[in-house]
Amino acid sequence: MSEGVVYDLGYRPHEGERLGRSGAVRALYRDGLRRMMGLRRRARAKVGPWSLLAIAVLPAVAFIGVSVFTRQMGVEDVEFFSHAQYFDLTGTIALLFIAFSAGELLVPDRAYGVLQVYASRPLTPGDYLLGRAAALATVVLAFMEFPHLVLFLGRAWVSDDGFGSYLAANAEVRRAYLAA
Amino acid sequence: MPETIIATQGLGFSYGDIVALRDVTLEVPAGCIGLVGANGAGKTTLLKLLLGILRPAEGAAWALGHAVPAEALAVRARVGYMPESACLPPDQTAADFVGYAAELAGLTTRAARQRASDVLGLVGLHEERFRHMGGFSTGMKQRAKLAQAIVHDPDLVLLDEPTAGLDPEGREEMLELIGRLDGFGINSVVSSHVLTDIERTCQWVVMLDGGGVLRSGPLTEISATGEVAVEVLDDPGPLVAALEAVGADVEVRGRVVVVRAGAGDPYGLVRDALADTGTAVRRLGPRRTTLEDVFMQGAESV
Repeated sequence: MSEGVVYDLGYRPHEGERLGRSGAVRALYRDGLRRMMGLRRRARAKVGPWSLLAIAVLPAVAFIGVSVFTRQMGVEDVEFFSHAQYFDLTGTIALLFIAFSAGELLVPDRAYGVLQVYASRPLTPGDYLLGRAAALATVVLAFMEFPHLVLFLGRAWVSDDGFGSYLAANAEVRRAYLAA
Repeated sequence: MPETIIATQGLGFSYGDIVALRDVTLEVPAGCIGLVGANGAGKTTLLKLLLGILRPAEGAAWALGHAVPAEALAVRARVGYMPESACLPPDQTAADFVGYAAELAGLTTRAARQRASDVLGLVGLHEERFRHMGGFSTGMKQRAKLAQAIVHDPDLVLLDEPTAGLDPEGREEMLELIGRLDGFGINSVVSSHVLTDIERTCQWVVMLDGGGVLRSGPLTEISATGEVAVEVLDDPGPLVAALEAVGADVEVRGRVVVVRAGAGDPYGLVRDALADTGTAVRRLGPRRTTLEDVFMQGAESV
């Protein structure tokens, strides 16, 4: 007679790799990105960052929409605003974003005592700040870059020259912008 | 004696003018270690010194064979810490946060997620693991704090007042969990001001009082007495008289009669004396020195 057997897997030791400090910094970086954008958080945390991003992208989207419309009506290519002018807006929004969200990277760790958890992990205060600063830099760059990318690709799409040739002809504009 | 996991030599620390620890010299073996002392005795300070969060003003300390704070990173890679105060962000789910705690210890994302799920099941938060921790009860928070301390399979966990704020049932379950850590290959240091908690779970006890070490030794050595305690329902007088008549060494504490046999089996003497005097017994058993006793004796002699 065989009897029912209960397998208690219980606790299993971790035998996989341990990445040490670099792993800890990467974890801080990824957590920083999620926290700034409100990902894996309640809806309330998402409202701020995503609406700011929407405001930043809105002019580019509006421009493309209008361009599609005017081209169908046979109107000449219009250019409401240049990348340089648009940069004024996205730059301001990036600044606003820093003002609103940068505190999110450091303040909750302190307020909720998470620093005590960091203190029992293989990382130094410098590593902590490095991971958080990298997250801030990434998000801010994305805020400044993403709307321009939308505008650029949109222009290429509505261009009379065709998508590919606009990209090729204006590639140096992108390069110059990225270098700036 | 098994290997030493924690050692200190003349360790001292003070917060400004307030001396928190002075001349602490310890050598503690692997296993479950109890760290007992009143509030302000220096328990948390000692744990923080072992983690390398605080730098010793004098003396030296070693954990898992590494000197702290010089090799604090090597220690922290294999240590978990459950702080006494809150350490859980309320806007994250338990699974997210415990997984994050594992990644911070260097585990890969996949391993971290798997282990977070396993460990949360182990501490009894399987059902609640996708809930935001802001809505957790005190008991659930304590479990989540324990989970983040053991999620990366450390060699040693430092638990600072793990039973604080728990109801009797929650306290039982928490102690039962801590008692199982040894079987998982995790050494633990459990700080508490509740002596019975330590008695239940630990094999070695370090007592701190006023920043100094009162005693450090195995629990069995402290608690075994070879005495018999009899608690009677009414007047212990006749029983005491009968026992003294047969030459037993008797001490009366209220309604508890403690018997040290001069010769022979103390249980035999007690049985005969009870039968002769017809005394009603409430409780009869070996007297174990409670940590409370030892602590009081130690405190008096200091």
